[in-house]
Formats: sequence, structure tokens, C-alpha cells
Amino acid sequence: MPSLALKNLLHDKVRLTVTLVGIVFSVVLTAVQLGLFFGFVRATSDLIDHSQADLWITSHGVTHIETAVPFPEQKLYQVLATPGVTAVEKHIVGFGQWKTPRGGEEGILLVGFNLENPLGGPWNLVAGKVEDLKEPDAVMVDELYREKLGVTHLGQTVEIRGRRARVVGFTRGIRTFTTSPAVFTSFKNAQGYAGLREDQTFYLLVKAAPGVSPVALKQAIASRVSDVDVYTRAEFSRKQSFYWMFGTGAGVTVLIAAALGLLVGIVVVAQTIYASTMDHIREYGTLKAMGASNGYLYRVIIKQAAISGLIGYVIGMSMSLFVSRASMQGTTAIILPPLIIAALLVLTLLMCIGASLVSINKVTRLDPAMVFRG
Amino acid sequence: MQAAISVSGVTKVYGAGAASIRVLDQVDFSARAGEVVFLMGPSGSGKTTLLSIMGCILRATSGSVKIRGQEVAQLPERELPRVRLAHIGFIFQGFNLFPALNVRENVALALDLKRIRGRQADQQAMELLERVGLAHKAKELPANLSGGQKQRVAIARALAGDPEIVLADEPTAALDGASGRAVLELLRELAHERGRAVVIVTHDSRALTYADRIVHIEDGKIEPAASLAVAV
Ligand SMILES: Nc1ncnc2c1ncn2[C@@H]1O[C@H](COP(=O)(O)OP(=O)(O)OP(=O)(O)O)[C@@H](O)[C@H]1O
Ligand SMILES: [Mg+2]
Repeated sequence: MPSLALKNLLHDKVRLTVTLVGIVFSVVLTAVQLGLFFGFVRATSDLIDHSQADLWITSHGVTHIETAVPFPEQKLYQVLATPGVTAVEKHIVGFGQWKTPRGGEEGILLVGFNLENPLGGPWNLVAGKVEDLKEPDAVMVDELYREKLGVTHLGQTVEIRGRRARVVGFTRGIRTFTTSPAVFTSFKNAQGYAGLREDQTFYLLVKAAPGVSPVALKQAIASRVSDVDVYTRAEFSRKQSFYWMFGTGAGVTVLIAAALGLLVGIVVVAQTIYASTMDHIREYGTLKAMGASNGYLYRVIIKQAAISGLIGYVIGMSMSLFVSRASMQGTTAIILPPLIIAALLVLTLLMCIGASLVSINKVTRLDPAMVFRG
Repeated sequence: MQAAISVSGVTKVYGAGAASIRVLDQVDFSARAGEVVFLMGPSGSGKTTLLSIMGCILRATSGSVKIRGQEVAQLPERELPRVRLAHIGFIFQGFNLFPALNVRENVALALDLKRIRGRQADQQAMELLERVGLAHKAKELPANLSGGQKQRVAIARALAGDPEIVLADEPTAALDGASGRAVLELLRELAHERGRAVVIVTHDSRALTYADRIVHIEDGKIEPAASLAVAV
């Protein structure tokens, strides 16, 4: 059939443009906010997800990784004695102060790990090697934060909590949610930088023996070792993300912004589709007089909405993916998982079709006898 | 011969209570296949109302409406589109073409409603346009046609799917004399050569020679004396 929906859309290019701008705006706003959400989620838990540890052990009651409470390191031996454990490493994650070469102060997130068995060590190294951290004052930072930390070159020296530190390597793409960049160093150094007593640790990272289920091992350790919480990596990751996203409301804010994006879309699209329906009301009346069923008219309206939605989505999503890609050069990643990309298509179409309901209602009530009136 | 369309005892009251107005009062009217009937009368006499009731787009307050002998006045609202689709072609004073569709697509849309699609629809649309002498304008948008040409496209569209009854409300009111005559010529040909029942509401006294029969209506009542058959 000659597509009345498509032809009517193309006939009024100004209105089509307005509609598309509305949809594109809505898609971009929603996609970017959702992308921020997923970027935040990854940033909060990246250190845990990349730790390669099967279990994380914290002192009892720790809610998020950045504010650990130290506990005696001899718990390591109790853990190690648990059947099914192949390795246990002391680990430090904690806030610290970094004095930039220019004299400014920056908050950092110290990450101290055992260089011999790099559970919880850095990844995506673009300069230097893990072994380089053996030097008593060696640290590694992420390229994305070089400027923030005032690091211009390898070998540069700075101060962490009054102690000398020397940059021996760079990672790429290790983001933190708190904006305090991760600074990797040996466990021993980190103890010093964090002001931790020699016999204390913040975390214990556990590697299970092949074939041993982390969940079972977690139970075994929890029943043996007192005053600690034991999490599987996935559990701790989820707990950590949940804390920052929902415990602090940071995630709720971006999700609300995403919902607002959708709402704006619905309003704009409903508005333009309704205006277009009113423009063409005589045509709808004529169709009705000619014997078109309401269903036929609905299809025309919904098709218009769906075509607009589809075009708007393709443009909006392309822009969002571009923004997402560009964001990878910065400290705030906008991450669009394939599932979200697909879900947004469905959401956009639903939004457009939902927005056409007002018009459908109008056309349902339309009296075909109008066609004979002036 | 059975009337293609007939109404009897049709009354139409708009509104209710004190504010109600009786626009049609016990109207009897019919049109046979093959004849052109003019419905004439002063403004506000109820012509459009009667035409709308015959076209099943408006319901009578009481009375009977028969299309080829079938009572349709009692049908539920949702059945009426199907009746219109099957039996009736409309022609409007304002043409009511679809501005975004070209001439051929305007006709094809009417075929689409009747589930005639694809190549068959294209072919039929072109045949209909040939019949009204506008096949060469098939790809034009309505905006690029003269009034007379638009009305001829509207006629082609009304004929899509071959309805037995064609109802036209002031089809020539917006046209100049020559275009108006061309349109009336087409409508007469439709009745005489193709056996359609054609009912035309008009004010236009220049058009009288195209009528087989003229029915006068005044204040919602058919004027018996004036409703004389014109010599065929
Ligand atoms: N929907 C309506 N509600 C109330 N009154 C109406 C309605 N439609 C028409 N009328 C009234 O019914 C009367 C007949 O109207 P109708 O349109 O049938 O007249 P007409 O003979 O076609 O007039 P014209 O030559 O001006 O087109 C008029 O008084 C009109 O105001
Ligand atoms: Mg009228």
C-alpha cells in the first residue's frame, strides 16, 4: 500500500525534524545516563573484579572497599590452614594523600599487593613491569589520571604521606568512582604509605584450589576465622557497587536523569504526533467515511510513531555510542552494554507508541460526518 | 426495480430536550441503479444530514435505511464502516484528497482499504484514473492539480472497489463552470453507462440538465410537488 504513515511524515519535514530532535535528545540523554550508571558500577568494583581472588576477607562490618578497618595479619595463617585454599595474600586498599610535584595535594586510593603473587595487582600495563614495584618507593598510576596527579614522566618522584614515591609504570583505563586515582605499590610500601602497623592488613585475598567452589570455601573460612567477613569476588563486587550506587544515592541520581530523558521523549513525541494528527484530522475523517476501521487508523498513527522512533533511535544511539567511545579517553567512562543498546531500542519504540495513544484516542472519537462539514 | 438505496420515514433530531432540533422529518427518498438524483434545497434544509444518513456515517433518530433492500439503520455502530466500504463511494465539496500522496496513491489507498494491494492495486488505480482522464497526472501531488482535476481524482477514488452507490455533496461548488460540467458529465456517465446510483446534493442551478430526477427538500421535509422527474 502507499504508506500513508511514511508519506505523511515526510510531507511535513519541519514537524518530522522537531519530532526527531525530541527523540534523539531523549535517546541520547537516556543512553548517556544509563552509560554513566554502568560506567560508575564498573569504576566502583573494577579493583575487585580484576583482583583474580576467589574470596575477599575483610574485618567485620566493612561496607565498601575504600574504608577498610585493619585486622591482625596472623589471621592469614588460619585462612591458609583451611582445606581448599591454595594461596592467601595480604592486601591493602585505602585512601592516601599524594603531593604533586607542583606542591598540590590529591587524594589517592592506595593499592598494596604482594608482588610475588599478584592477586589484586594492576592490569593493562602500558609502561613498566610489576617487578619494577620491588623498589622500596616504586608506585604505578593510571595514565588517565596523570594530569590530576601531576605526573609528566616515568621515574618522577612525588610524596605520599611525607614519604618519597617514584612512578615506575603506567596502567591504562583503571578508573575509580571516588575520583581518587588508584596508586599501585607493593604491600610493604602501602603499609608505610597508609600508616598501617607492620602486623596488620586491610584485606586477605584468597585463591581456591582447582575444583574447590568459592562458596563452599567461603563457608569453611567463615566458620574458622572470627571477626571477619568473607565474600566471594562477585558478592564483594556487588556489595561495593550497591553501596556507592544506592547507599549513597549516586546511582539513583543518574537513573532518575535517565528516566527524565525518557519522560522528555514521551512528552515531545506525544506533542508532535498529536499536532500531526490534528493537522491530518480531515484525512482521518475521510478514511473513516470511506470505511476504514479504527484499527486501520491506529496502524497509520502507530506506524508514524514507530518510524519516527526508529529513525530517532538510530541517530540518537549512534551519537551515544560516539560519546561512549570518546569517554574512554577520560576518567568517567560511559559504558553501553549490548543488552542496554537493545533494550533502549525497545524502550524508544514503546515510548513513541505510548506517545501516540493520545492521538489514537482522538481518532477513535472522530465523527466521520465531519467530512461533509466546511 | 429495487432501489439501490432507499430511506423511509427517516427523522433526525440533533441534541436533546429543549435545545433539540428536528433536522429531518419523516423523509422518504430513494435512488435506483442507473439514475442521477439531485437533492436540492435551501441552506440548512437538511441535505447533508440526509446524505450522511444514506452513507451510513450518521445514524437516523428513527426510520429505515435500506441498501439494496438490506436494512442498515439497526446495525450496530461498528458494522457501519464495513457497509460504507462495500457499497458507497463519497465525493466531497472540498475533495479531501491526501496531500502527501500522489494521484495514483490516493486512489490506491481506497483500494488498500478494500484489501486490493500490490500490482493489482496499481493497475486498477491507473484504470480508474484513465476513466477520469487523469492517467497522465498519476505521479503528481494533489497540490499541483486544478480544482476540477482534484475532483476527478476524488471520483476515481470513490469508484475504487466498484461501489453501487455514489454520494456527492456539492461536488461542483468549488469549481468553475467548465470543470463543474466535466465532473457532472463523469457522474452522469457513471450512472448511465455503469449502472451506479448517483445522488448529488447541489445548489448549482446550472447543473440541472445533468439530473434524471430532482428532489427538493425544505425544513427537513421532502417537497412533493417539486420532486418531479425530469424527462430522460
Ligand atoms: N451535528 C449537528 N448538531 C446540531 N445541529 C446540526 C448538526 N449538523 C447539522 N445541524 C443543523 O441541521 C440543519 C441541517 O444541516 P445540513 O448540514 O443537513 O443542511 P444543508 O441542507 O446541507 O445545508 P447547506 O446547504 O448549508 O450545506 C442545520 O440547521 C444545521 O445547523
Ligand atoms: Mg450541506
